Amino acid sequence: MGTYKQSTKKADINIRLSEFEMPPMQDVLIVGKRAPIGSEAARRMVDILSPDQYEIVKIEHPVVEAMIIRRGLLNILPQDRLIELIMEEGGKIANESTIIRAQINITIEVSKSIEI
Amino acid sequence: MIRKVSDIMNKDFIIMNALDGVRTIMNISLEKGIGYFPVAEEERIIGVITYKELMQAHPNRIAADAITQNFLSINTDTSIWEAKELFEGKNTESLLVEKNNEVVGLVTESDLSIELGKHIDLLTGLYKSDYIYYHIAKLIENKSGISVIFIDVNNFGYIDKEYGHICGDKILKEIAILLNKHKDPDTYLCRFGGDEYIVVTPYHMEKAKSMAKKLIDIVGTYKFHDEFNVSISAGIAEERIYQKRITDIYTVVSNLINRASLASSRAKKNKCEFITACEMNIDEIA
Repeated sequence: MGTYKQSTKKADINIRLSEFEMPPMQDVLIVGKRAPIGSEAARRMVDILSPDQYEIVKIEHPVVEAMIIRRGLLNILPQDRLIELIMEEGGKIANESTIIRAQINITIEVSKSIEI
Repeated sequence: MIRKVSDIMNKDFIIMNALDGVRTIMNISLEKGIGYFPVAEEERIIGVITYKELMQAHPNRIAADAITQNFLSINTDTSIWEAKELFEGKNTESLLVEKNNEVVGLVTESDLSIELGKHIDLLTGLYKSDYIYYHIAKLIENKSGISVIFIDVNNFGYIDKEYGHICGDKILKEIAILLNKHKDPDTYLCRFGGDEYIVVTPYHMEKAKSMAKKLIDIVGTYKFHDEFNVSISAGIAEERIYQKRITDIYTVVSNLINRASLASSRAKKNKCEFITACEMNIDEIA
């Protein structure tokens, strides 16, 4: 058996700095029925961090318990229509134990003609 | 006596806070052997966690995210039969038992099923008398019309002695099936004692008499096993409660059953199909 004549220990440190999102979510959270954070915990979190900015919508779905939606979006689209749109895609990848964060960009184009 | 939820409620529970973690509650549950946790927020009960919810919820969740909100509050005097109706009609999972606005116990559907099982007659599958006491009391409280039909099997002692108790038991079972099948849907049936059954009806005397006649005819013409001829007699008693101020419902219920029972004995003795309590002398009732 050989013997070590010399040993060294080295630590490499990488630091990545980025801005903390307030609240740590974007436009929509899709909360699974058995996710570690439920809709009530999420509601309390956003109520403390961003009061009056998010709406908790409980939904009837096999695996999804609720959605937390930024109120600004609900000013642009009706709630039912927005949920239907999000679930059309989000529902396919959501499962009981996940919380999915979604970013929604809505652009409204208006074109009007007036008589001159 | 009618059993109350206070007789069967689970008193081993701890009220948890909405922000307590499921993991914490699970640890308390395992440590203390408690399976019922009402959850409160700002001194108001917002839901209930039982073993079922603890097993289903992610351990990182807060209590508010694991509770079932399918619960109702009842008081300690609620009967087990009313609790049964609440579970059936209101789609509730737990009943919180309160006294002076304070939670003193909790009843789940499985607790109640275990208790109700004790009130089922093993031979006939019918409920025992407690069930009937409750429904009579309820009809009296609702100031509904009410008549009790007390049914006795004629010569049952002879059947037992002559053909054996196994044979007698088969007949009792078949009569129970017949009565249950042919009684009106808004009436309540129980096996009161050995060869005695009671049907509680929300009817006045005339309609109750007609139903008693129908049941007597059905049993009398039925072909029992081994071609036995079996017949029944009935005593009918009506309670007119509209003008009365009732202070002790239990006494009224007991008297009503007693009057019907005496009328049934008289019908048997006189070898007539049925007799009504109002046809009897007051001395016989007293």
